[in-house]
Amino acid sequence: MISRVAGNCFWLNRYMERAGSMARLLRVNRAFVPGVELPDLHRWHPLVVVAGEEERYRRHFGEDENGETVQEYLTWDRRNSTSVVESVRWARENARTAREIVSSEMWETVNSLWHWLQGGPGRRLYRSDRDHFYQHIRQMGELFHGQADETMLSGEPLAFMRLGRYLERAGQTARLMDVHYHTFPEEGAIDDPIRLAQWWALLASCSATEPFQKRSFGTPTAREVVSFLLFEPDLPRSVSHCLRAGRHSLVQVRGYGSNRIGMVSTALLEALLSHVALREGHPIIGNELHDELTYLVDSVADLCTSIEQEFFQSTELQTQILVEESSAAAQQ
Amino acid sequence: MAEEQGLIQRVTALNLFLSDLYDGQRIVKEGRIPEAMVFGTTGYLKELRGIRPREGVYVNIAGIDLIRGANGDFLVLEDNLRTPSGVSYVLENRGVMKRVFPGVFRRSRVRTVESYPARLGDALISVSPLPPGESRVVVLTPGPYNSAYFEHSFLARQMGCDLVQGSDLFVHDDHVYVKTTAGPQRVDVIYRRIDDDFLDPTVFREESALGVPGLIGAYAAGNVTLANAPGNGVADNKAVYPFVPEMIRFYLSEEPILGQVETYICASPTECQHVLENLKHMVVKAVDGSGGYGMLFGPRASQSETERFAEKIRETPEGYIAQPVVELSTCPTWVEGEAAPRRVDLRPFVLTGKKSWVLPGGLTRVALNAGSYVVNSSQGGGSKDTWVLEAPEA
Repeated sequence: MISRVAGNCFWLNRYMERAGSMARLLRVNRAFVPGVELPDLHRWHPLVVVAGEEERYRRHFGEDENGETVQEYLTWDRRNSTSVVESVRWARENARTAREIVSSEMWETVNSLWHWLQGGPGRRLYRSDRDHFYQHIRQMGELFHGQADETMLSGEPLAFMRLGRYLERAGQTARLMDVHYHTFPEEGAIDDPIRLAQWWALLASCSATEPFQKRSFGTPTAREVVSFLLFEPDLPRSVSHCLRAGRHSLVQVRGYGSNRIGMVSTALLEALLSHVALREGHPIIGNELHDELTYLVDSVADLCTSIEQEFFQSTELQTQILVEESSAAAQQ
Repeated sequence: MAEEQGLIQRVTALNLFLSDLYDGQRIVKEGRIPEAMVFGTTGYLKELRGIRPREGVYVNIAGIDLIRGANGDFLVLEDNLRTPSGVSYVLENRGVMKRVFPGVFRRSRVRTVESYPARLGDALISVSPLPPGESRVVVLTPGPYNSAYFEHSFLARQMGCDLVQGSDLFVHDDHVYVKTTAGPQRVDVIYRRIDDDFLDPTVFREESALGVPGLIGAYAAGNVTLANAPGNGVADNKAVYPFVPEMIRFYLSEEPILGQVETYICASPTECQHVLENLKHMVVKAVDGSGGYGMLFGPRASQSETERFAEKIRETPEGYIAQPVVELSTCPTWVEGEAAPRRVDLRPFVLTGKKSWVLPGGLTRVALNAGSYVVNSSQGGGSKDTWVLEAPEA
């Protein structure tokens, strides 16, 4: 398929994943905040960090860490490229450009979510019932990914969509954990009520509360939670699960294409997977965990850059292939 | 059908005119068309002289705008030989009409228009540098912000080929390739819906981000077909229009089958004088204008508008032509719950590969405001399904 269109599929799904994940995080944080006594700085600042927006936020709002300001910024602000509304905007732009590839059901979901956010209804619900507002966005995100699996031909476009979805998700989970890492006690059960609430919030942000309860018993330890979110193969949002799902899609994508395209990306992903495999069963916490999460976040970002260069923005590589082909032909 | 033959005759002559202008320029040398009319406009691209497209076809897709004169004959109002649009409306309108009035279609022997995309595909592939089985055709669009993007996407889907943007293509060794996830694939025919100016930043507009660097080089080397060929603007601008009947006589030694609207060329001092004296009864058009912009509609213009326009004509007479007001025919149109007369024109499409084919139907454009003459969709015009019936059985 056309490289740019493959990129549209990849990014459409990344942006929808990002919008849904931001909405989920905001909703969980709202629910968790009233239960514990924390200054706004500690309640809401971590969300700005997850979004990777610390610097820009400070430039616009200084030390203002008021919950309302943060929510407004992460939901509506057009200057924030990771805000919910910007993610949906770019998802829609990508869908529009690849309209003949994206299924009508997916298009309708993205388009109606965009119009809902742009017009009165979204704004009104944001003011009157914010939990419901974030829940709606989350559900539209889930609907969208379900529609991708249910309404697309299982070919190359869907493989790029799933690749985008899972790599975005792997990065999001690692980033979420990184925000809370310093609150994890080194040993024993988590018994401090505030920390416990933060832990449950973290699990909830990854839609992992119920799955975790099914796999663990009694008061959780930090190592159990870390291990679950990083390595649990059956958890749809664990880093390990997302990377494996990403590998499945990347292998599929390369099956359609040329051997020359995707070599670097495959090597990066394989290296990352064996890195993760080596750590399975050895959950770490504290500063070591922070280093580990930073490594994961950076590696996923590098992988996405490499996919961008090899598959989507590939003029240099494609020219090189032509040069190699013609010199091979000349030698024969 | 006379109109069909007339359209083919006209497109054939226009094609020969373009071949001539970009080669020996016989028609100018023999004084049949004044040099200033041809080379004074922005349409002629001197960089392209000496480059001959496949099969000598410059105009693969033509949209010839017709109006109906007082005696019922069709007259040519304007030729569109660059990137004529609107055929997707023809197909969509027909689809809607068939859903709404299935019974009428069963009885009426209406000729089908649905074969257009396949015919377009045939015409394009017949002028490919490679054999049809090995050729790749793409539709090149400026992108989703273009007002005709729907049509570009529609035609690509209907023809079963890829829709690409300039950044999807690159030129290597004078061949054009499309970047795919399976590596570079050669492109042989480009149905381009990007204007000449933007096609190749190394030849035309440097700042164009829509085009493909090196594309004109590949075209000149004969390795890719561009449809329509670049440089056609010289044949469909309003300064050359008055000379089309002369072209038909010159190249084909035939009399024109279709009439056209009497036109005064302001570049000629006597004709300009006549125009200025009769502005109240004239439609004056800028030679390089399109889409209904840059024109004066004499009978409706205010005194000050008329004076301002007269000033512009005196400043650059070669920039304008004028025509007596032609009454457009009307067609019953459903407006706010009742049928009312509205003015229309008709754009049939002519496809040319190894030979020409006229779509049995066309885009009827409607001026939706009462009394208006402006049918352009960019200015609120509408469109209608248009039927051509099978000839009755003898």
